[in-house]
Amino acid sequence: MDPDILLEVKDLQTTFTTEDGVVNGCNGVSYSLKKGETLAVVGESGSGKSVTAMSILRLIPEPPGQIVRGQILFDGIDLTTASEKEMRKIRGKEIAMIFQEPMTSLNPVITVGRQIGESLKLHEPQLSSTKIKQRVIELLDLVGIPSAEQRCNEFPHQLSGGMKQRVMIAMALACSPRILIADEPTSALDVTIQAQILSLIKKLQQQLDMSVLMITHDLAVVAETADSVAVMYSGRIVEYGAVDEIFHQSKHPYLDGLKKSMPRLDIEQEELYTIAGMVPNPLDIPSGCPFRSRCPQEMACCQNEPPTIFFSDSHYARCWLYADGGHHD
Amino acid sequence: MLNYTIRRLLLLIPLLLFVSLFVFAILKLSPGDPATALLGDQATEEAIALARAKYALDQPFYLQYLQMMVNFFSGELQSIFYKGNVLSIVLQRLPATLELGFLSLLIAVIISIPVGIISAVRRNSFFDYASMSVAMFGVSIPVFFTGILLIYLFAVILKVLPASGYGGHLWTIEGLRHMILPALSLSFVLMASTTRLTRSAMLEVINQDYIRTARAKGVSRFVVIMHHAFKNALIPITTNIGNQIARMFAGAVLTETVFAWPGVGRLAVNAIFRRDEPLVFGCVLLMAVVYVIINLLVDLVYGFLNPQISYD
Repeated sequence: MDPDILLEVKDLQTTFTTEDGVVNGCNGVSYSLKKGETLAVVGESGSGKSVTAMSILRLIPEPPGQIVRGQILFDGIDLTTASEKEMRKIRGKEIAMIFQEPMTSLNPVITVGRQIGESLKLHEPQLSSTKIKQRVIELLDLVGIPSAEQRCNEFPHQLSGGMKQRVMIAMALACSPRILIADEPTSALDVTIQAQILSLIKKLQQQLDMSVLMITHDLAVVAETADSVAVMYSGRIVEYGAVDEIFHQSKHPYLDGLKKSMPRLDIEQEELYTIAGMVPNPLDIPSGCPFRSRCPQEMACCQNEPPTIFFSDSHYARCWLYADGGHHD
Repeated sequence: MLNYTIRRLLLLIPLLLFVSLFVFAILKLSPGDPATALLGDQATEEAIALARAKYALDQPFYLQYLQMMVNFFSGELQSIFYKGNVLSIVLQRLPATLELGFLSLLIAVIISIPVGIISAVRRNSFFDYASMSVAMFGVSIPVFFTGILLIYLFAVILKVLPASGYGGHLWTIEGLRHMILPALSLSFVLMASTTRLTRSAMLEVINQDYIRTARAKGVSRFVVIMHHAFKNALIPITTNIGNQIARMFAGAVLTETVFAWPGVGRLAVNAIFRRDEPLVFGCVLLMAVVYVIINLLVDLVYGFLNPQISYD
């Protein structure tokens, strides 16, 4: 394994058992995260991007969820088979996570200061309570919350949405984790706050030398933050590459569609472009390429499992269009 | 918070006015007459007229009402059957009822909250099904019937606890022995509904985003459940207990009758049967005061549980 690689997800499959049958949350997903790198995972709702991230920390509710195949390697441990006790040492300490909904992700009956201090208390038990308090105030300062000392004793409902997300970030950073998983950290916030939070994450990443796994459905966020990008559709990665390759040399028709759907300010547009059709029902995913029913370039061979075609060391797509042009896996 | 408490206590005044008017109206609207009830069917016209005059029953209703109110609060309202004034008779019986209520509340909370939490955490397990079935049984069975079953089991068959009567205060051994059965039967209703509510409140909280956040920090399952989840679930649980206390008062009337318990509930029943109007009046009024005070306490506890509520 490349010594720079901190986290490697290999061929991960997570399923959910529902009353109507077994659903694949993600299916055969592989990616790796290098030291100090930001990897963005993009896709629409239900594409499996959050499921993959939650599987890393084993936060999938079990049952109904279950990791059925694959490995998640971190520091020589396979997280898919680690015990709950080992996982508790990793959660919050080595890999921390911030969530999409700052409004509901903080406990309403516990003060902000105690919620942040809790990670410290768990993972650094040698700290005295005055030290913890001091550290909490430093963290609140770090994420840009004014009058931190007073905010410590406040409850989540006394803070605005943006402030709550800052508190979530402070909580995640409390034990200086090596990896930060940010699951749509800005989706619930308005645009000006979004920009602030993203630049805050970027600044802290450099300051603390963290790797970030950024999960988002917003291509603008990707362009602003990512080094590498994984594009997911219906539980699988359909294209993977460095951020320039994804934006300037995209290969998969799905990614082309996504990029065309972005509203542009530089040209006059009567109507926004949309990708026709719907995401396939996860209970009934068509054979072969899951995107084929919506694909403008569908061919007969798309009914078969698409090949993985490499365009450079870091850039691949899974699509029949390039079966002759690229090099096969 | 002090301001709030004072305001709430001042609200007692209009409430008591309303309750007293209502009780008085019911007493006057119900057929029969205290004087006949007191002297029997064989009494002469003169004797009845004399008794009516003695208890001011020959006065217009509004005068009777005013006099009853004034006398009650000045401690001069005399019971027709018992010796002494109504206020002191009722106050003398009140501790027995409050002790009984307190013990049943304690039993209910100690049993139902842990059972509810375990049922929620082990949802759809044997334990969950079993405890929910028992709780369902507890909700549907009438209090007096539970009482009779308990007496039969513990006093008649096993002969370990006294069947009825009051043995002294809660903190004496004999007192406690006498109180266990009535308290247990009274706690059933509260226990059943609190178990069910604890379970559903915990299930709801466990699925909240902030529970996931706590787990993502590396918090252990036990601490997640007891600290992060239960603290939130306690808010609806307290509401339910507050509401159920009213049902407990109603239940106390039956339980006290079944167990010959010298409390306010049985006193009220006796007073009604004997048409002791002043005493009925006093019992109901005092129960209303106790009920309002307990509800006020519940609301104040709320302020501690839920930081979004402030009483300033």
